[in-house]
Amino acid sequence: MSKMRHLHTGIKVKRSLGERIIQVIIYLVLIAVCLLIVLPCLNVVALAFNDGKDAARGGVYFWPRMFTLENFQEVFKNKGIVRGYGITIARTVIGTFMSLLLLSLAAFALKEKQLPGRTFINFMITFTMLFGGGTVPTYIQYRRLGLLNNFWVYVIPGLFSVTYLMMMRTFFEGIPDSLEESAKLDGCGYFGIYARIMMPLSKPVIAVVGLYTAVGHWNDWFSGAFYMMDTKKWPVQTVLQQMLNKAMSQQQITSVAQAIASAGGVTSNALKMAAVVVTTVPILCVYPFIQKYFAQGTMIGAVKG
Amino acid sequence: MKSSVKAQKAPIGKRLVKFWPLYVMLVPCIIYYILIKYVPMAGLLLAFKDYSYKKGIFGSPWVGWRYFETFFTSYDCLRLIKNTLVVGLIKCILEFPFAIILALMLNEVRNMKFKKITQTITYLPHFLSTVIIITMLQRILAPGEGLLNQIIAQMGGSGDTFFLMETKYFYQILFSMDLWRNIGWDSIIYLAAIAGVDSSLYEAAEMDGCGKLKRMWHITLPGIRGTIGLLFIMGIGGLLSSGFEQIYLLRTPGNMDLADTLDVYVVRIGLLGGQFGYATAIGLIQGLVGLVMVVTANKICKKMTEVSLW
Amino acid sequence: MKKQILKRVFSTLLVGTMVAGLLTGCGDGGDKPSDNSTPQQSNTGSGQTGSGQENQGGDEAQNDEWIADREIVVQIFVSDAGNALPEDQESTPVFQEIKRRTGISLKLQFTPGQNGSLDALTTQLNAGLDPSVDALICYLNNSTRPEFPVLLKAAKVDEMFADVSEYMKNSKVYSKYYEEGFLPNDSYKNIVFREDLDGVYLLHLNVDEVDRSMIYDPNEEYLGGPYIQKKIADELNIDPKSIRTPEEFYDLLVKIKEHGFKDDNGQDIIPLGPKFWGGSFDALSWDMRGLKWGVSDFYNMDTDGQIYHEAETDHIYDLINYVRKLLNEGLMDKEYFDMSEERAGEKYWSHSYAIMGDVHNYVDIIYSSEDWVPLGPLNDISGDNKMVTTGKGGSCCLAIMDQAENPEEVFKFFDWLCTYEGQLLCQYGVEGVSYTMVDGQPRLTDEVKAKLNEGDEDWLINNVGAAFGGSGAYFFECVLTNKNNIDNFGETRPGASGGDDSENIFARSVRIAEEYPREYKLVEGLSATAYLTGLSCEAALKEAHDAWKEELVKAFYANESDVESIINAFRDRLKRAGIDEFKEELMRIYNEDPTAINFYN
Repeated sequence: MSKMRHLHTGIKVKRSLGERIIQVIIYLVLIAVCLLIVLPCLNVVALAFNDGKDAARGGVYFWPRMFTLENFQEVFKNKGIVRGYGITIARTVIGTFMSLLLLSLAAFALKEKQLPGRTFINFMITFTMLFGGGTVPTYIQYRRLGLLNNFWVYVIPGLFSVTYLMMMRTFFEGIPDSLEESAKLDGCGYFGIYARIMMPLSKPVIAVVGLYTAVGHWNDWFSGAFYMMDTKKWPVQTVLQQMLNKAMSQQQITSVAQAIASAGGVTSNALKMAAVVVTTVPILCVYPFIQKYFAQGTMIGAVKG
Repeated sequence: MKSSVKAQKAPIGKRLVKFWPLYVMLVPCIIYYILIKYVPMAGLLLAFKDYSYKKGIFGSPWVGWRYFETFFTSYDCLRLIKNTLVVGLIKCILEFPFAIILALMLNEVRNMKFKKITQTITYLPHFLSTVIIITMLQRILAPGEGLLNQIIAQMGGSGDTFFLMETKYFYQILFSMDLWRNIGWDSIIYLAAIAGVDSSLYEAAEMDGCGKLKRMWHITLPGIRGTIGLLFIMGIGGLLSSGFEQIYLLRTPGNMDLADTLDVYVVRIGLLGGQFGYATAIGLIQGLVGLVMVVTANKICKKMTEVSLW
Repeated sequence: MKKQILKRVFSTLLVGTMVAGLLTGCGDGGDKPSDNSTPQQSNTGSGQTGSGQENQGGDEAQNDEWIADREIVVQIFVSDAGNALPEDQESTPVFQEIKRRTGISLKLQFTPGQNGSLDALTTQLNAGLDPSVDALICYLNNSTRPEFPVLLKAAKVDEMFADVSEYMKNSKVYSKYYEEGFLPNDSYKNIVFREDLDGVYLLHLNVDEVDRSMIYDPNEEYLGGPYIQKKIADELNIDPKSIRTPEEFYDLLVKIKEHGFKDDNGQDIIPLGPKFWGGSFDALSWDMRGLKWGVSDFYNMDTDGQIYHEAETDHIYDLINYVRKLLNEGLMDKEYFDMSEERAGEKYWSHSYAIMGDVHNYVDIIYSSEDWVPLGPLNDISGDNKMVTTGKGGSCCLAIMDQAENPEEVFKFFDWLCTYEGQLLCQYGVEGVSYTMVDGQPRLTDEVKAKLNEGDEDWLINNVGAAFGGSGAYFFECVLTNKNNIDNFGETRPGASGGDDSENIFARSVRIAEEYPREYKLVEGLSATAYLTGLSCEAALKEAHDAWKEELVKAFYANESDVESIINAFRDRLKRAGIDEFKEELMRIYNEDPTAINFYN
């Protein structure tokens, strides 16, 4: 092993000109892509920290001109936001954990090529990706299951996803059978193989599916807006959505009294930008922790040895 | 190898016994799909029924193929299907390789800090709502004062093009916007897949004196072909359902000849008008086309990459 | 190691059974509707003495305000109301007062859905509402609103609502609905007392006791339409009120263009810009008012006595050529029809347009400075510049659910809310808390007034819970009917009278209304498309109608040579969609009752 490391570094030194050109090109392209993406995003941040009335005059690009925290104060003035955060965090943690557990178990089972009924189950699962009953039958079913106005409506309907299930299965299939065989020889049952071989070797796919699921939970405002009548049980995204709708309804004012009510305060655009920042930052912070699982290659060799 | 051959030949009964723990693992999955997905699927019947709440899904009177006839004889039908297909092709096929390329490039970056920052930045747009993105887009493409027109003017052009109002720019705009938004997010899954490639293979290749490009071509890509194939099949299933919000917001009287897609149509005509039967019928058509596409793609993929959904 | 595996097995099984148990368990519970709660039912009469916990309201409970000791759950499909609910409903003074006086614990629920509550309403009425819901309220301006067919189906086909006609007859307020002339024609004929319904299921709300729609009251007017920069009008020496015809408007735009004004950033000004809230087709009906022939949802009656869609007549070319001229000569912004709200705002704050396509006097850009003044209003196709009003109207709709336990109590409660006492509570809150009686009329306390002027909605909603004319808990505004604030409370809305308004931020809004008065003219009837329902051409024609605005805008931007083919193609489409059938029907209705459709020439 150590010999190999030496060889590796040795090659690195002797990198050819062509290699280095490719490397430079890659860096340049990535920098360009980043700039293309980050500049518009910076604009959102700048607007979020800028006085709304001032920003409405135009000309705020990448840095706030009239710095203020007023927009954020306005967002957090709403008591529902803090409570909504609690609910969002709860559903994200519970939902992601349950999804990962159940998805990985199912994916592990479906990976087994000789499992009777495997093709059928796989097909039936894929089928749900293409056909759905529509809003009304879904609503009826949720009511029957007692999910309406119930916290679990945030978790249960999103437990499984065809794409994530297949992603996991495909990843599991890439892990050499020989590892499983040798574990079996060691007296491991299926649950043992799942827990001791599959899970440790599948960190990248667990991380990515976990991330996708968590972000899905985090961003979901729909189930709050449709299935939760009790406004106190809304996740933060639904609360924000309603807050923005309210701020934007200024142009549909139909009475003088409503006009009076909606006057003053921050502009709807500034509020929108602040809301984006408020909801994006926490979930962005999660990413670096997950990132390390994508960076390292799997240590299949190490497990073998 | 021997054991697997044996297992294949084992009778079903024996295999059922042998694999019982796997069935236990599948129990939640099966319950979920039955209760959450298949029971509401009875709603597909609405495509052939005049639904009323009192009579329920099964009790409502049949109307036969009425909704389908209405759709296929409607003024916009052919244009809708064509537009939907083109938009689907752009979003599912044309855009498809870019996330892979980004992941491959990221994988070649040795500077960890740079890599981390790049990754974080590229997936940022996923968190911006479509409305915000469209506003920024309008700003960039505005006639006269927009950034793009200013650049064109600097280079001697007229600088007065109203990009969003002209049919001929619609696909380009849609493509760039969608790519901008999704490339980073979609590349994460490929990064994970690349991370799953056995690292000893690279070491061996390096010892053989393989260059970067060769390694990418001969090790990385084959190593993630399962994921690629899988996502390709999945994507192709959505060919006829390309989403609503983005297209709807991009739609202007100037480009609506191209921007009217089935999803937009369903929301406009079906849901808001409470015509569930009609909306379901169109959903059914989308699903059927998707099914044909998926089955075909699955067959092709199975041959080429040994990846199969079922 | 084995232990570990066992643990895993167990945990997995546990989760699996948990999930399954949860699902099936809840399934059983959900299947049973509210039958099981019948034992708790309280009868109307015994509620007075039977409720021991009603201690502080004990003696007052004897009065005729008492309804029953029970809960009433209202599902809201009005986002303005749903977004203005108190955090803790039961603890606000208004909710407590309701409980004290009527025994009702009011519980308001809201599902916003995606598109202004319409999809939530549609979904829930088709899937069935939560069994606990006793009543619903939703938007409904008149029977042409998209909510209406959904409500009608729920009432007629699905029999979801309770028939309230029996309770209505001897009710305190709603009995007025039977009086001739109280309800607007459309509300009476098409919503409340429909011939195809065997009872009363839908109650149209917010019908005023006295029709004041023709009276111009500067304190309560909001003036829509185009506004012009005062500086520019002064410099060109133009009286904004004098601009009336399309020709005068065009000449003004040309003059502005030729003068070469600059905006705050030193850029050339464009004479006409979009709506203040961003590009929209609707601004045309203000800015090109004299050329908008199809006044009734694009339909009108021509001089030959025949009804046409505007696309069918050559009037449409007047409009198209006019707009094309403005666009080509750079007199109006290219993005007039689809600029985003943010950018339009930016441009107006930098004075980049001479004329604002459409705005009103209660928007901060207007009242916060002296920069903008109303232009016109321009003449309409009949040649005068009066504003059209359709007369007495209503908004929002109340329906009591058939599943409600004892619907009569629920109805009685909503009826009580509309009585003098109920309205006082709904609009002004609780005496001593938010208002005091002065000479027999309620006047808001200084604290509430201050909060009202600051626009501190949260305080008004959570600390009092009354509507305050819409600035507070909007629910209590939209459930009312038979309102007559001027006669009942001596002011048009809570806080409108008394005190010096000169420091009020809206002082200028009122001044604009005083300085630029408008006149009203009454045009009765519904838009033509209201009568499309039920015809065999409905679906195809509706689609065509929806497409028309876009086709028209396309014609504005198309090459000169394509304009005619766009219009001809659309005429063709109308024919194929079956417009002739529709026009015949309209003709029949018009001949029967000319006030049924709001045509005017």
